[in-house]
Amino acid sequence: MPIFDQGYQHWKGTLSGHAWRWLAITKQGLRGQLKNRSLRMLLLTAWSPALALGFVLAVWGLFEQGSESVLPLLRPILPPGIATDPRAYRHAIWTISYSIFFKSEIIFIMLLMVIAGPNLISGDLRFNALPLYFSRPLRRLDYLLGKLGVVAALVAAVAVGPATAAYLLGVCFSLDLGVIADTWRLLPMSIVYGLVIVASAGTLMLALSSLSRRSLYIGIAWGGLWLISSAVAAVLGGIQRETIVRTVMLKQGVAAPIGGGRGPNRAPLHHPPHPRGALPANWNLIQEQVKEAEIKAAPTNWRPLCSYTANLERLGEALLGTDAAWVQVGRAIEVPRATLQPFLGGGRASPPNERRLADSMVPQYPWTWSAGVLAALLGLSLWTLNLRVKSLDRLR
Amino acid sequence: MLFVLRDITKTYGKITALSQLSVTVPTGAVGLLGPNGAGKTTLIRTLLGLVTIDSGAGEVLGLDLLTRRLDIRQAVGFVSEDECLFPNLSGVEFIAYAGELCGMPRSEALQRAHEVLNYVALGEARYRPVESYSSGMKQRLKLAAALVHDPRLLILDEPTNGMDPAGRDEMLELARDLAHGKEMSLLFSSHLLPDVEHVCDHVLVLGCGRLLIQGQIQELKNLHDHCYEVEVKVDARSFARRLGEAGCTMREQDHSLIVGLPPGQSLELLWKLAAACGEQIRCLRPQKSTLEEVFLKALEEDHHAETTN
Repeated sequence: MPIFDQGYQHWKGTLSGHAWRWLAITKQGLRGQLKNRSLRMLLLTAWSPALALGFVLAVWGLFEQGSESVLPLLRPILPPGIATDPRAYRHAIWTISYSIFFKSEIIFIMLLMVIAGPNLISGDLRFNALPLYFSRPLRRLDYLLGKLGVVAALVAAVAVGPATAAYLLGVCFSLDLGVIADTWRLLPMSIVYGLVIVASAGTLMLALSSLSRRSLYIGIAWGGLWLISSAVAAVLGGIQRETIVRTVMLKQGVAAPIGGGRGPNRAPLHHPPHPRGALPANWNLIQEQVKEAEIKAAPTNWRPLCSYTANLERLGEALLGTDAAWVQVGRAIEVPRATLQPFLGGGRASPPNERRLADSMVPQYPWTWSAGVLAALLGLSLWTLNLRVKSLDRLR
Repeated sequence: MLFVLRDITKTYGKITALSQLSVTVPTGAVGLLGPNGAGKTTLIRTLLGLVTIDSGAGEVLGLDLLTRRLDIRQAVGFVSEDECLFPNLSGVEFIAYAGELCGMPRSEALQRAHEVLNYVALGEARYRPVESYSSGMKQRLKLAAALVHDPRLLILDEPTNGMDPAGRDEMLELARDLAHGKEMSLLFSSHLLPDVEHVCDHVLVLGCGRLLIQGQIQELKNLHDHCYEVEVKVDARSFARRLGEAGCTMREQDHSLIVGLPPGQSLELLWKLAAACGEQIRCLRPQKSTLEEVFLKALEEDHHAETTN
């Protein structure tokens, strides 16, 4: 026996309260995840939208102050209404910037979940670690909270944290405390949105992770959920637009295009319906009627609900108030657009419509529909977790 | 008391794992014996508060079984029979994590991990991934994980599984040292009766979810002190007939006789009877049952009682 061997020693330290036991699981989970080089690279890359957001807010702050370094760049490209009074559009610009930031980060969060998520519970199932956990003073709730904490930490690292940092940067560059009064809502809404993403994506990934001991299958399932649901929503949306185009053209007495028409990205009609390639005389009218029909159908368009990420984005738009921001920007853009349209070959000028931008940039169906879909997924995830993460009562 | 159970019943569908089990166990090293399906694992899970019992009540280390489950698990360390690992960790990280899950701060958990790993003699292997460990090393690791938070009761479920003879002896010595030298109570569940006999002072024997027999091992074995094992040189049958005429009970066992003296008689009776029939006694010793005999006898009696009912 080595001379320094003291044999078994009793331990007389202080234990932490039971409420914080889940934190040990979160910390251990993060330590394990951060050993993965791919994850570290993705985390670094996921900061690029945050850098862009910070840059935009900083530039806008300088623009508000009339900084000579940015005035010559921005004044020519911005509508006159915005260029002359940028402070009035501060809230709208910040809101739209945050909306675009979160839309970009959703993609990185989905990728993070593919890398970090599958092993959260499947690794414990594969190595039979659950008896080790539940023979400790831990409840199933502590275990699941601990695992969810890993997801929360990653979402905070790429979305909520950078959003907060960008906000502070924007405030600093504005040199005007009034910016806080105008934009304070964005900060708590960003945090709430982050919590929504954690609750939805986190529990869904944990539920998937509990279904198999092979993390590869879970990664494939997650990728399928993300990409296939988006594809299905896009296809259904394309079918709807195709239907609208055909209906309008038939009403106008024009032969409907064979294939083509309006593509999924809502691009204007490119394929001339006339077989000899000549546009019909009422082509502009047809385009306007198609747009009107789409706008009219938008509040009841349920097709985006099929896409998981679209539902998350819809909730984000509602929380941030992006629709109102686009309406405000639309007011500044529409008058010069209506004036310039005949001179730019746009045909007869359509009357200014302050909702034009909002209707095209923000889904118009009720956000409660997306909330319902996400709540249903949350319920299904929790039910699956309750079934799969068994206490030792139901283990062999 | 180590634990007290009162009319504990636990069923899994049609299978009754524990049937109105009532037992009071003193502190110390306790062996848990029973055939497959006797309810040993269910009993262990009941003590840990991991199963919801159908009826009954009890206390473990003075803590109520139904309302203080987490506190019980805080005071108990469990070495499971199955192979269980936290994935992708080295040995010392494994033990430190086990300590953190019990509420130890990280720095203290790491220090404590090294202490217990020294105790279970996992040397430099502690820095290797646990997936690379041999079976014996994993058993030591599980013991270390159970000890990291300094429990008052250590439950060992087949702790010597998969270990070589030297490793098995070391594991038994560790268990014995913890129970007798470090004031830790032990519940030792094993099919290897010599292991239980080596480590434990008290034993419970379960069968079909019921308690068959319990008591101090020495007392259970000493029940046969009034019996002697006798070997004679020439004619055992003739000697046996003489013993029978003198009021002794007898049965044959291999090449010897197990003789029960009548009340009030001493060994002198055997010598007199041997001299009277001209026999030489080649071997005379008090009969001591092995634990295996106690165990098998308890099972046999239970089986007989069931058949009669």
